[in-house]
Amino acid sequence: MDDADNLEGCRVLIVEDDAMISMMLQDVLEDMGCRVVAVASRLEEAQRRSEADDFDVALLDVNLRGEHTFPIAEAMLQRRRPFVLTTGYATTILPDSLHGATLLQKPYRRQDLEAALRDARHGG
Amino acid sequence: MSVASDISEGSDRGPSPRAEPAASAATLEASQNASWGESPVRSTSSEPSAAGNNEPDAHDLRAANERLLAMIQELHARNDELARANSELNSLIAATGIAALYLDRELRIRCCTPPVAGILGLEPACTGQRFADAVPHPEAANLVLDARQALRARTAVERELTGDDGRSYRVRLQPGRTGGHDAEGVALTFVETSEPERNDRGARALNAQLQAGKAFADSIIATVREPMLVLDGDLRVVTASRAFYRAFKTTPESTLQEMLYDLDGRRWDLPELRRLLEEVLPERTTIEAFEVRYASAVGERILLLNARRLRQQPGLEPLILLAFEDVTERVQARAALATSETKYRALFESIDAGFCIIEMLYDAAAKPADLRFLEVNPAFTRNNGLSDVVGKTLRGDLGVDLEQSWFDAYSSVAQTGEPIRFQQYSRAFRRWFDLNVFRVDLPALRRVAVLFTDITERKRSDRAVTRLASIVDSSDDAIVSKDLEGIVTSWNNGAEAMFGYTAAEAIGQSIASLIIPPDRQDEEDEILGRIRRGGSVDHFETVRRHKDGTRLDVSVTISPLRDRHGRVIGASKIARDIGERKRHERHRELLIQELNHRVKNTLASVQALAAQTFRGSGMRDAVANFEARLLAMSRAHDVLTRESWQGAAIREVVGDAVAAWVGKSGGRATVDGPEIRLRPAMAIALAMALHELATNAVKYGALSNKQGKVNIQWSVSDDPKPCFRLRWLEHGGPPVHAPGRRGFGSRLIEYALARDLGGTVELSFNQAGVECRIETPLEEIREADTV
Repeated sequence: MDDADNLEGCRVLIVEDDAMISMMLQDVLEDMGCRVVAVASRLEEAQRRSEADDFDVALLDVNLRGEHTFPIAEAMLQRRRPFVLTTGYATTILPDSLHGATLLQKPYRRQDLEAALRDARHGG
Repeated sequence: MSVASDISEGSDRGPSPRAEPAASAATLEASQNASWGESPVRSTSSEPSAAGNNEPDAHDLRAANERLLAMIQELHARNDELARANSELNSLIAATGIAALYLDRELRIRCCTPPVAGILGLEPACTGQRFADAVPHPEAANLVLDARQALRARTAVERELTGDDGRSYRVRLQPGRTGGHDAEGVALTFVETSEPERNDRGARALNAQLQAGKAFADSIIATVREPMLVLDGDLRVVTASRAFYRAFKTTPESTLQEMLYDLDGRRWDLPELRRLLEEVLPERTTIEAFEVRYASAVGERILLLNARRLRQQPGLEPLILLAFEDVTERVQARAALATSETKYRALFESIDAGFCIIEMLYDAAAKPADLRFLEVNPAFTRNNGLSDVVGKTLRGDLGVDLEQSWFDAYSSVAQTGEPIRFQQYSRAFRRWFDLNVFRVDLPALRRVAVLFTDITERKRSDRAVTRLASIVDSSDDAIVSKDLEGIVTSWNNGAEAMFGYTAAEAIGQSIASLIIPPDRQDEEDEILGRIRRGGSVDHFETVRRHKDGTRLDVSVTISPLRDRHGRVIGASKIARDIGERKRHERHRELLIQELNHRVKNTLASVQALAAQTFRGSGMRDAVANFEARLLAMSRAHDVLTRESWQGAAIREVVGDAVAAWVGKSGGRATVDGPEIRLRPAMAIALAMALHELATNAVKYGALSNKQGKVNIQWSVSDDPKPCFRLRWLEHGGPPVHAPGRRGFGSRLIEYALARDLGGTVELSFNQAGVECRIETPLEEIREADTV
């Protein structure tokens, strides 16, 4: 866990409302040796899960059924919790407070995901 | 007196004083018989006839003879005595120089003494001539009358006259008598009047005459309106008219007896005047209309001098009458008239307005039917386009069918003399005119002057201004003007609606205090500064403040306002409320983001779906290819999203497409071509094709080893329509083997791209490297609203 480059055993919280994508993510992350601790597809759930400390990094979709998850991201930033924002939006949509956060544009490649996770863990 | 009377009495009895003392007795007898011997001759002649009749005896004859002889002796003695007396009288008369003349009853000259000739201008051989014929003296006629009076009244008559010798004489005309009988003639004696008496009387008469003359002259001089001076021979003022004192603001005390040249501070001491008075006048007696410019206390006057030498009695000093005629006003008026004539002429020549004098022409029914141009100014042609019109008629000669209403209007001015001013459009001239029409000359001549201006342009611009004003009024844009201090000078309806202040509230206020938010005050200063320098501000998007405090998104365009001389005096400002546009923009942006979000999420879902589908199927490569293509499509979308789907820049599309592969190969790809904005569909099609080419290059082509390079070049040429050409060329890679079967990638490039682009795509697997040529009309791929 301390070795940021090594994702083996890394606990990941998935916040994603698209079931297909979250299923793929679980497969891909497990292939990488990560352990998915939870998948949240609703804002309240995401909120609650994000406040727990049973994960090393969160994969946080910016939009959950039309609702922004920026407050969650900001809160995690406050608590210095590592996270990766995933979004179909352009980067320009990010509020100023989240500039500098690691962002993955959908769709992304497996290697992009890996790099982002490492990046987030470094930054965090 | 006594001498003259003696002579005259003596003359009665004796022979003519001019008879020679040495005259013979016979002559004397004959002469006596003729004048005085009547009685003796009668007695002598009667006696022989009586003797003859009575037959006297010798004794009687002898006695008679003796008596006769005694009588003859006595007669001789008497004759001698008489001759002696006559001779003595003559020498006495000659010695005394008495002037005397004797006339008979018929006023013939019987005799005269020599001095008379000098007095009356008689010829020596005048005896026997009629006095009236022989005497040339002017008083001769009067003397004849006097002589007749003397004869008639038998009394002496006296008269005074001036002789040809210039002396004064008293003439006494005495009728001559012979002892109680009728006068036999008239004796004129001339006695020179004594010197004192003459002087005294002459002086009295002259003085009276002079006084009367002077009074007459003075009264004339006093009453004439012209200033007048009478000068003596030394040019000293003898008399001055009251008008003179008035005109030259002077008094008799400082004028009379003064030299003309000394008057009024020697203002009259003019060389030319001196010459005229001293040289010309003595010869010519008059000088007329000599012009003098005289700088008097009352300003410069222009005077005409008339001088006249007055005829005087001989021996008296000549006088000069000097009359002044002040023609200043007349000269000035004439000059003013000439000046004003010149001025008006110049004015009419130079004014921009057309001017003409026309004569109205009437038909048989006394209806104004035409007009004739009598005079026009140069601007005439400029204002109505007619040239060479003088002397011609408008309808008849020039063929301009001016509307009847114009003729009626002109005619009414010609008839009533009431000037009119009007503005009217003439179809005949196709112009608008502004006219002043007034009558000139005599009413009967039916002449009017027309001062007119072609105001077509002004009307047009007036209409434009009106239109502009209505546009300003009706505009939703706020259109305001302000001076260089930022004080509002105008405020339209749009401004009222946009900012909430009425024009009355806004005008005169500082625009900064009204609508500029506190955090934008610097901006206003900057704008005013730029306007003062003559600059302008174009479509500047900023924020302004409503009266209620609301912030408004506006786009402002500000231009300097200039006066006629081009000086910047303020600014006009058009503010458009772009709040709505801003909201639209934000909305659209949101929609695009949402679209993108969905597209990307869908792509991600498809990616996940494929991954799940082929998981564990052993088709990892196929899944990887699929995923790569999906991501290429996604990247192309990114470019479009960044541009809000307003097309995509070709450099970005090409760059992004190859960056995924080539970026990592460290400058092994060169990209070169002009910027072109591609339509969204074209951008995606091109990106997909490039992805396939790059994928192939990385797997088998130039990018599959460490040296190969890819060159991507495109260009636009005109032949004849703009044509877009792009070439992908690989070199330095391993030898290329053409694939036996066209894979999906090749087909995507050759078929799908060609169809999408509406052009041709040529893919060549040359041994040196793959080459792909894309050619299509530019209009097929270029975003329509870009250049």
